[in-house]
Amino acid sequence: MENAIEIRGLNKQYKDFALKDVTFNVPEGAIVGFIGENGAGKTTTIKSILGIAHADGGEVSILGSTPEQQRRNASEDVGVVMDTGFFFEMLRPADISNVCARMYHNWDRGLFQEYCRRFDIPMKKPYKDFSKGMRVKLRIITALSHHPKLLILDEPTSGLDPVVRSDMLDLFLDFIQDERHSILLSSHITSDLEKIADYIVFIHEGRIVFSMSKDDMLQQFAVLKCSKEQLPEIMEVAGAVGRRDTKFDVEILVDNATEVRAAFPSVLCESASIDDIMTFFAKGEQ
Amino acid sequence: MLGMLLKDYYSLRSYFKKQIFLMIVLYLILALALQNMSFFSTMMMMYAMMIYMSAFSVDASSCWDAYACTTPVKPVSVVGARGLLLLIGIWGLGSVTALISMCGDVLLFGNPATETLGVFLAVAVVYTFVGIISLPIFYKIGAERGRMAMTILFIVPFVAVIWVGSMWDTLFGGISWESLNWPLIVLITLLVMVVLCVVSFLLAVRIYRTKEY
Repeated sequence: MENAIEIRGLNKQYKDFALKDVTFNVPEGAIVGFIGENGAGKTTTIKSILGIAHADGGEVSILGSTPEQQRRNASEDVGVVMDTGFFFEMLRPADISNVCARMYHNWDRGLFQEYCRRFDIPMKKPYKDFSKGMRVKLRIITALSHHPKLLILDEPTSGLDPVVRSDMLDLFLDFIQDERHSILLSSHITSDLEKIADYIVFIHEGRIVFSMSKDDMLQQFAVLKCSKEQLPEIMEVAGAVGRRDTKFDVEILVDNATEVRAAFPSVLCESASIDDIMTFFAKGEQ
Repeated sequence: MLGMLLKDYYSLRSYFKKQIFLMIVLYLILALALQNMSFFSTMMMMYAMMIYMSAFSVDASSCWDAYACTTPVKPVSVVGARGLLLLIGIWGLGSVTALISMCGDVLLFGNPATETLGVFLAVAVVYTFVGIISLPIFYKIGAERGRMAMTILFIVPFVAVIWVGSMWDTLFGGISWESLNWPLIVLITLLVMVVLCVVSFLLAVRIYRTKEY
């Protein structure tokens, strides 16, 4: 399987923040969920991939190009939705389509209109009058209407109601039906990623904590609940990566769920959600 | 580049659609009252400069430059379209309004057309210089601070002209305005303007191409 995006040892230093040795892939035909708390480095990583932030070190390849090449000869094959950056809000979708037709050789007016109809986006209304959900839909369908092979989406669904989010997730699943297509989707709405992501990359304080398939992750991590008295014995086996003390017991995030379950069958050991994993890493580190 | 100009048109049309008629009427009335139609073309060229500055502000408010970097639009097209907007505004709108001004001056007030033409050319050259020098500045420091820098740039040529005028005898004693080789001065000015346009454009493209967002 080819990789749409390959990142090896990416470093980027700011005055008060740094990306350190970021390494992961976005395989062709897959949706990769990029998770992490606010300020963890998701947007900086995405900007480095796109060449709009200059890396201090490491290698990045996007559809076989370097970020510099990508920025200089931005590929028609990449569709991007950033948390900021789009057309001015006085433009109407019809205007955006007219401009994009001159920006992209592959711009598909018919497809854009079809998406607008499907998602109830009025073609003749300035998008400043759109609700937040409609604005996000417009950005996403604009990114899709030139037939890209790779979608890079930075927090596209944040702040949306569940109905709109569900519409968008369906759109991503439609897009990924073509095996040559890939999506890098940064989000901290982990329930969305649990529904659609094939791989999860977790970044914390500028470092990649893990990059693995979602199924492996859900199998590997578990939240174990035990009393404080049981804890020393369990800790001998458990690969604890986070701990949360409650009034009566202790919750531990373990990264060797199978071994722990086999060793302590009577102890409550539930599969960890992505939310649990993020929370334990961010807050419950030992 | 056409797409970028179209984008600017769509972005700015709602702001300027109604205003432009008001400006035309207002400046025409003022020019007639002053019995000086050059005022009309001068103010309309100033209006073109406002459109140019507003285009940067509109782009900044929508973070357009960063978005454009993720599309196949070349930096040359992004910057070139903005330079073209400036030239179309000053020389396009300026020519049309200067023609109206010349007709008005000749027919209504009996002023010589050459005087109106001279004012138009002088103002257009100064505005072009200021606009083109500010192009890389806008890309380097952004719309808001760029607007400030452009205002300062406007002051410089006017202060220079007033200073040279007041110091003429001291600086060039014995040389009269009439004896100057004006065709040569116009030619040199145009050459300097062309060179400045090219250098400024290339610098702006370089800044835009390497800027981090």
